[in-house]
Amino acid sequence: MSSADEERVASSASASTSESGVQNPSAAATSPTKKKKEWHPITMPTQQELAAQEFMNNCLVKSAISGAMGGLAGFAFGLFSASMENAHGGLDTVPELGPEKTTRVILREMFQNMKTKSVSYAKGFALMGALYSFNECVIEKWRAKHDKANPALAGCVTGAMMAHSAGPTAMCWGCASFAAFSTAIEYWMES
Amino acid sequence: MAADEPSSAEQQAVAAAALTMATTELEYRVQLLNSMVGTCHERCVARPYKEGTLSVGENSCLDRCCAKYWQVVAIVGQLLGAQNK
Repeated sequence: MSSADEERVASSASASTSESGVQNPSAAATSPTKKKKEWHPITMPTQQELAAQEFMNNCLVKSAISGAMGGLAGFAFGLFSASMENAHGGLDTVPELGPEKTTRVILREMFQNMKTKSVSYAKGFALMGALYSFNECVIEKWRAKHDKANPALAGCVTGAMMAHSAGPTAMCWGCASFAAFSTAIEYWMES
Repeated sequence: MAADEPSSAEQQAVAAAALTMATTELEYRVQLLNSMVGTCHERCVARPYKEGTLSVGENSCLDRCCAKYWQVVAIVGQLLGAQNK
């Protein structure tokens, strides 16, 4: 036991003086399960890093990226939802009258349904993602604070915007529900 | 030859004075930078640190903090200069 401790002390001492990123083979031999933390020297950010950060801080860029990701997620969700819908047959559905459809026709119908649904879901999710991201970015820039009120405010504004065609009551409900949802997502992301 | 010596001594005195002034000025500037960084970091970056990069809100807070700090330095400097006269 003491020899293993000595080896560990020796390996940590030599690691502090050696270059970062060089693994000590004896340490790997004695404790293969423990991963040695690689320490990197602190450097000032380069011009490229700063420019990249400035680019990402732009609200339009953030909204575009979120919209693209929302579109992808909506596309996948639409495919899934259409496949659930396409699984017709069973006791609940009304049987269609007329000549029996061939497999090819049914497949084409299913494909059409999948296409329609996935495109429509993709558009909805993309709009929601882009709008939410833009609102959160603008609100956070204006408040100049990074705390837990930002997702709630941004969610409220987004929910109200998305329900604007359904009247003021629907806007209030949309605000409350989307604010609660985005706050919950924020808490979940933090943990 | 006689005229050269006092002028070289003058030059040396002037150079020494300029060097001292430049050193003091540099020290003041470094102090200004350090206090600006310290103040704006204390006011704008919330603790505990949850991530390693500045968020959008913190970025805009730092922009505003530095701009205001610089304005305060300029105004106070002007007032001090006016008072010294």
